[in-house]
Amino acid sequence: MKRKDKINLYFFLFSLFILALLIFPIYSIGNRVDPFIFGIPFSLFWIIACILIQFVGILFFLFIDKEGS
Amino acid sequence: MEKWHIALVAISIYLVLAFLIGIMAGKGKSFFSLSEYAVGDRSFNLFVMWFLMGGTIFSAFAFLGGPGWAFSKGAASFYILVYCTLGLMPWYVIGPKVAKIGKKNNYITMGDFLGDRFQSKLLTIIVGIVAILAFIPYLTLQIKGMAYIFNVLTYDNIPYWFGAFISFGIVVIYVATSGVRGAAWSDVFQAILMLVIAWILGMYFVQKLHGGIGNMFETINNSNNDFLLIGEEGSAMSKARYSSNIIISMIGFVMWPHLFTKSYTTTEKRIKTTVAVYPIFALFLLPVLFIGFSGYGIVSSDQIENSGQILPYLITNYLTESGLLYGIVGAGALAAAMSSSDAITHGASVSFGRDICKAIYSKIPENIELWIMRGAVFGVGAIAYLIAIFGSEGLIQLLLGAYGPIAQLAPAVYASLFFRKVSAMSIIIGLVLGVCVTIYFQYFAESTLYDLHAGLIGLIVNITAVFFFSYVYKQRDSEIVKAEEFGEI
Repeated sequence: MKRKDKINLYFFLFSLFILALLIFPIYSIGNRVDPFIFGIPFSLFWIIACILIQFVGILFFLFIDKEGS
Repeated sequence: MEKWHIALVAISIYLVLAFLIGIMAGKGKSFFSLSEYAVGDRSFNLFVMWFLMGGTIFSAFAFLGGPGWAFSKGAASFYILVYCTLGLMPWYVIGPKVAKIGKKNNYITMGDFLGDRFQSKLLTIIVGIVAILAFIPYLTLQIKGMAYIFNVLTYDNIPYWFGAFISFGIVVIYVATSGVRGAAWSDVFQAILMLVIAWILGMYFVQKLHGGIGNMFETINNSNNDFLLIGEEGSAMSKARYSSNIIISMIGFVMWPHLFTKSYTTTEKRIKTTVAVYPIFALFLLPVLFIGFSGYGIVSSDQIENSGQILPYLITNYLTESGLLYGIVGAGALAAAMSSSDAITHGASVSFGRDICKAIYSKIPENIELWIMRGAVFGVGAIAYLIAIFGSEGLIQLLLGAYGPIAQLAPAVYASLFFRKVSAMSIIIGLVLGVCVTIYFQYFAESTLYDLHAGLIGLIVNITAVFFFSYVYKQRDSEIVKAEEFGEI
């Protein structure tokens, strides 16, 4: 498998991972009101945290991509 | 001077600016180049791309519907954040491939891409028709949003038809003259404006009505334990529906032809960077939801006709001090509606010119094709405007069903890049079956299976059909050559 295809495959798996965090059944862990974090219910905080993880994750992929070229 | 006069002046200044930016964007670029009109000569930078993708998605639905969902459905509205976050992820993988092969073979639409890969003009035309059928209701909603904002903020002094006519008329003119570049640069301006306004409003209402975010959510939680959760007894949405909604939007998002074709407006590297910075846009949506939550417990649901009116209601009842502020809010809401409608109008015009006219009469020269597209901006615009102003509520509901089938284009796009053995016939059968099943579950069935999204059921049928018929109908020789070419990209 070419390096580029490999990165794409890993990116696909990473997308599935983030998706899984945000839908049921795994979202059941986040789907609660307590504790409130920064005044925000945990169910919403979980989503914001996922968005941040995703952001950092994609930056990482960009970095790897750049190394390759 | 009455308050609505001041509001009207502020809105007018915004409209003039949006118009000028849209028109100026095309200055110095060739007015007679099809590639410039359709895909901006494939030269957009990261800054423009981010706002173009963001502004296009941040529509009247997000500005009016987002607070409405938060107000009436609670945690179900988190779905809006999630789809914005996940929706663009598949683009990281397919976007660069589509851009690369598009540049090589000179594609400007999704119909070009699929039609050439599967060597089927029929497929190009089907994609063009599906695209335009989905664009018109989307556009209709935006126009209704514009009319509504004008009407409410001027206390009924500007009639419904006139507000929409002016604001959408401006969009039509700058799209017809400056093409995708006009849409892109006005989106930069509109997106910045609406984001700033969303944050100011969100913070203001939360502070004024509840004295802080923490207080607000605690009050909501105390009155209904399940409001901030999904799939509990007092929640507004089941777990299956919530999850399948998210899955379908992740698959369907970049299949919207006007977003898909943005792959052609830039380079591979910039596509990846755009995907990377895109989640930040989702975070900017947060205050829009806060606006809706802040109305909970303050506004009772019988005070407004439908939940989409919560933002205008809050503004007219709790933001009464200044006409200027009022006008700025109106400008922000208009910006949201306009920044989506420009990209859609443009997309529809290009699809009509290329996927329908050019596919049927392949002898049309490029300069005539360009004029067909410019004309289509007015044609599609007029149809959507007439439906928005004169169409019945039922008609609009019916048209909105066109949303669902968009995700049915996904198997064709993915198969074209990753599944070499697939044949044109199987793709067409899958697409048609998928669309039919989706429409059946949307309109005719009493309930869907396990409360899943209708589009997801259609997709399962679609994918199964593609696999099955690929073994029944073999590829023609010309398809095999293309399959090789697309697979190597």
